[in-house]
Amino acid sequence: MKVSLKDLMTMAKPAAELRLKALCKIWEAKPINCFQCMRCTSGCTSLKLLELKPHEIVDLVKFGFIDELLASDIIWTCATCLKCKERCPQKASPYDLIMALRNVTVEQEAKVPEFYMNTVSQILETGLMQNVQKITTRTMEPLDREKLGLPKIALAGNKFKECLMKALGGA
Amino acid sequence: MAEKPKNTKLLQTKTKPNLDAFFENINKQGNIPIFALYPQKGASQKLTRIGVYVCHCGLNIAGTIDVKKVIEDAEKQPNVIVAKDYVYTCSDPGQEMIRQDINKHKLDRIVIASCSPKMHEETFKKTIQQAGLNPYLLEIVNLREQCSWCHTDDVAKATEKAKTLVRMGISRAMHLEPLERSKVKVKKSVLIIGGGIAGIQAALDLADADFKVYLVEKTPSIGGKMAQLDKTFPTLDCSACILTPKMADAGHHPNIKLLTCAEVENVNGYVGNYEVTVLKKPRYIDEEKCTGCGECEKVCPVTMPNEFDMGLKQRKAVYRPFPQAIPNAYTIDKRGMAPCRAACPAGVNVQGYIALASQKKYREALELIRQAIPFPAVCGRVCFHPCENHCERGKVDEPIAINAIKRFLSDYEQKLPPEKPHPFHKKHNEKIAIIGSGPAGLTAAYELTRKGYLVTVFESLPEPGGMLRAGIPAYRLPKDVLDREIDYIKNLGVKIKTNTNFGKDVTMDELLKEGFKSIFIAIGVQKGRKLEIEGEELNGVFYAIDFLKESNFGKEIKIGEKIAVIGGGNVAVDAARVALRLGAKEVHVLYRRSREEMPAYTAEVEEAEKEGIKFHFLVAPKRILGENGHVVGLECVRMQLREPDKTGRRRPVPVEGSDYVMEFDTVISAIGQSLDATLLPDKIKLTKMGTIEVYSSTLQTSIPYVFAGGDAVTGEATVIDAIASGKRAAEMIDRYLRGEDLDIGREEEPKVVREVPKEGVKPRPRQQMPTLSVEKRKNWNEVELGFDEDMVLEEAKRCLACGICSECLECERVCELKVINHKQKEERIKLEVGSIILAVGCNLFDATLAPELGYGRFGDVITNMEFERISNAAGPTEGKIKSLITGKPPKSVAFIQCVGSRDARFNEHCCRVGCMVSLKQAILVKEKLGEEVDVYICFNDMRAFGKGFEEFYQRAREMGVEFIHGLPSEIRRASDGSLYFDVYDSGVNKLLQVSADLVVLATGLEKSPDFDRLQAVFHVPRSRDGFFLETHPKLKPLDTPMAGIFLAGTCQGPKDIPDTVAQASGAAMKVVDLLSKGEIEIEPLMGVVDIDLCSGCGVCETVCAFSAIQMKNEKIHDKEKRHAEILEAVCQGCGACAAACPVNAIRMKHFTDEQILAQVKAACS
Repeated sequence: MKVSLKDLMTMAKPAAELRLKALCKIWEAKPINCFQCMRCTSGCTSLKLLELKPHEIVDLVKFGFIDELLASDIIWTCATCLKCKERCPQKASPYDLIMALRNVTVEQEAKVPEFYMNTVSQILETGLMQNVQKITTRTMEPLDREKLGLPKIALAGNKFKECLMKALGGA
Repeated sequence: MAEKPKNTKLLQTKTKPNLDAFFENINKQGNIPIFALYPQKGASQKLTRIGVYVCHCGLNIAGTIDVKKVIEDAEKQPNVIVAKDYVYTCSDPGQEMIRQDINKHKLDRIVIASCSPKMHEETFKKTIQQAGLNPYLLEIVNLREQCSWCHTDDVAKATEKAKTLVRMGISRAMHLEPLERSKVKVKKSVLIIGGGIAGIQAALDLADADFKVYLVEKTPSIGGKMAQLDKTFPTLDCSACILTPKMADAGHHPNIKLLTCAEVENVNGYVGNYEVTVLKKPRYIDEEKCTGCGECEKVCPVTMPNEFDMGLKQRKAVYRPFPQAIPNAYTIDKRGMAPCRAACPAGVNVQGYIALASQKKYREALELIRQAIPFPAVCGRVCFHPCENHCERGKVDEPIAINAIKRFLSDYEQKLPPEKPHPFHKKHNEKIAIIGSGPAGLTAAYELTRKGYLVTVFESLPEPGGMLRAGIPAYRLPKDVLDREIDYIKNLGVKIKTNTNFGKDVTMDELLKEGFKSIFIAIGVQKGRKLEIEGEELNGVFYAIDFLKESNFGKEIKIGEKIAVIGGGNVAVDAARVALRLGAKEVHVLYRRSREEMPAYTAEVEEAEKEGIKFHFLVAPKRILGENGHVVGLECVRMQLREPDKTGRRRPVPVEGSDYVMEFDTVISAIGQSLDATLLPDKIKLTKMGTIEVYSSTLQTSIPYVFAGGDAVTGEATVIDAIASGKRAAEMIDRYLRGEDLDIGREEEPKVVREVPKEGVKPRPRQQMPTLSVEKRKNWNEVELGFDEDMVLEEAKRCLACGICSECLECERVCELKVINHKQKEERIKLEVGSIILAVGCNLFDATLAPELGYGRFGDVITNMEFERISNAAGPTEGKIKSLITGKPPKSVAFIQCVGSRDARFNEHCCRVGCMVSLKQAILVKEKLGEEVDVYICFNDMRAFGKGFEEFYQRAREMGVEFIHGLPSEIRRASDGSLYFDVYDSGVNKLLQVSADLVVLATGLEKSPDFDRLQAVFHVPRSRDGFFLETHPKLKPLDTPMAGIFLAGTCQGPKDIPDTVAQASGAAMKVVDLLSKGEIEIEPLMGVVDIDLCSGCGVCETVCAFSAIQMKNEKIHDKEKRHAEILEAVCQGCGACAAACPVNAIRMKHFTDEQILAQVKAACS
């Protein structure tokens, strides 16, 4: 399929098998229905993700240009806030697609970016996605829980780790 | 609501004009005291009671204009009793307020300052009428469109302007007069132009409502563009399945009269009473009686691209656009007479016999030639074929070898068992004598016999044929061929008496005594012209014509070894070639001009040269030298050419001192022949040139019953000219004997085809005539060998079928019901209708105008409409989607949207159907060829606005159609012939390359070239995009400014089928509304003529665009007076007549001079 298409910027041809693999991992959402209203991109909370915008990711998958997505760390930047899934007028849900692409990446044994692996180990160790003691807002204002007078966040105990591993089907 | 205009600055007048002084001046000038002259009929100088109402129109007016100030100003004006403002005056409470005020304050004039009178004048007229006022005592001041909207930037000045406008309205209102509407009866019949789905729907609706409907369609069938579609969006139901039942209903409805192949030529009259002239073009087939059996189509030899299939499939010249056509009758497509046929002096139907030959119908082809001339075999050999000179094929590569085909046909007949023609039955008692059995005489005999006369031909020579036998050598025209043609004529019943000299063996008086009623003299020219030089009497000098005659009759002629032939015509060349065959060693042809001026046919000269004959140009004989009474040589002089003479050839002049001597033992003079008039009766007058004098149009000589033709009249000319002359003589003699006028009633000039489309005609070489090799020519064997069957078929294929129908008459032969009439004429039908619906449809954009997309260059770039035909089961591929070039199903199909639409180069408007059409076709590709076929739609905006359209769009996406948000700049073709294009997609933010086996262009809908003509006929205005303009885009979408003329379908603007049908039903309802009461009210806004003042000059009649003014003679006070009369119902109240009248005898009701001048005064005070 799609032998009739070529990306003149990378000279890539659509990867039909990978495309199918990704689409098969999606349950309800229909990325194929996307009509490029770009509402997902307008509301995307992951600023980094805007380097390759959610609507572009959907369109790339539609055309089958999967390789560049799998090779990029952008799909790992999604904060999984689900706004795009909630508000998509066509139930195309870029979120679902991004999740599917991540799974395909792991299946392909492609490289998962370090920052993401750090997050994973942090969750495993602390139960938290990130160290939220200090953060920067989108207007670049630094905030500190301590200065705001907020209590320190409690770290997860062994019970959490056990549950998590069980849920993941590990030992 | 109308569109708000952009802000415009208020115009500032620096000084106010002194209008009173202006009026005074005009009155003082005295010669035409305009206002004094003006009859003051009904002009009310009495006090009036005026109510002024200023509408806020929400904030539309009040947002810019200080309404309160306008009211305050209005209150101060004379005669104003009430001045009020209201938020929405047009609303019911607003109207009620006015009605109450009228009753309470006894108001007799109302001024309403609001929106444009186009919007609500009618509303307010009704309002005041309900309160008991005459509706014409209302003045609307347009504050919204003409003040508030255009001056939003300057509230103070806008308010000042509003005050002035209202004051002007008040001033005019004072002079308003009550007017009454008159009523006229209307015709309960409707004309619908255009037989597409819009016209059909409107016709059915109206016919069901019991109106008589005339449905005019310019093509042979109703159905329009919808009939061409395969499926319809968004339901994907078959277009034919939903349309054809409606077409059949329209065809059979007792209230619908279909007028196909017809166009409206002229419209007169007025709403309710239109007089329409419809031009019905000939179908050449009786549409009522034709059953559509299709037998004619099977035998028709001419094929054409079928317009219905967008030229992708062939049809015959006799055709039915599609099998479900209504009326179910065939049509013959004629462009006119082919140039070849028109060029033939005898009018032989060249295109016809070539078409028949292409179908191997050789006998029929020959019969067709014999309808015009009795000499196919002779002409096929010796005619100089002017047809070929006019052959349009010659403009592509070389003319068709017409003559060779004709010769083949006669040769072919010879090989068949002989078939004697049936003698023609005698129909008339008159006997006719023909003198001379040459081509002219025998043709006349042939024609007259076929007309039913008894004809006897008198020939002085032992055998008939005239110059055909005596003048043309056998190697060009074998004697057996000639004998066969003459036998054919004899078999028809023509008697030929040979060895009979007219004037000697039989005289004119004897012929008359024997009961001959008319005589045709076609004796030709048979006397060789003298050289008039010394030595002409010597032995060894011959005259070519005698020389040829003797040789042709097999007499022994003693000639020498070295021969000189003098002359440059065909006779000279014949004589030279005959001399060679009689054993001459050397033959020289001497001609005094150069090769270019030679009258002999080039081909003959070339053949002669091949045979070894030498040609000497620019040489003239001065003296024939002799010894012992015999020729020994020729003294010649060199010539040079000067300016052209009367014949257009350059005049030869001797070069002094260039004399020289050539040795010859025989000299043949071939410088022309003259008429031997010695035996003709003295009563027959001759011309100065020595030929018989005739009236050129009738061929009558100085004796009424004696006619003459052929060479004897024209001097030596060609065989085909002689045949043509014989034909005409036969016609004239017939008329003479039948007592008919010889001059009038001639066949009208045929319409000859001038422009023949030649696009895509690939050059194909002309078949070359095989000839006898030169070595084998020392005898009388025919030199030209003739075409074989394959050559004829190959050659016939080259014919461009210029006239389309070739009039071969095969269809007439096979039609059992005899419904074909090739002579059918166009007719003009007069209709009287009450109303008209324009439903003429529109045009598809011509994609060749955007050459970058490759349409017309690349065979696999097609349009949406072509795709419809390809996808249709009755189309060129029987519904299989495949490349028309390779025949393979495409693996990738790309649709390009907005071709010719939303493009300032072509049409700025959106075609409104392209998106849905391409979506539908994309779905069809996926459905028919399977999911694995790649389908792309390159678009700019996807417009799926109708009911069920968005769902349809979604269906396409679900089926895997790829949408590329971006349009390609151009379509390219790779070296292997495959198509591809680059396109930037804004979704993936990438430049993509798409390869496509089939590219489909979504060509838009645009104005039709017919619209210009229709606009001139119907006076309906058009919008900027070229479509017909509705009266109001929202409130009157079906009306036109021409009362009683409505719009339906795409002629008003691009639309899809659901919208078209809805609009058509709406237009039908409008007609019902207009005509159902049987009478309609007519606006009293019209001119009135003061007969006393009218000088009868007629200027008004010439300026009236609606033909509403007639000049009339009437007795007034015992005096005959010519004056203008205005036809109330026709007058549209434009006022052109009133402005043009030099004596102010025409007064416009409701727009009187005093009303307007009062307004002007108020504006300037």
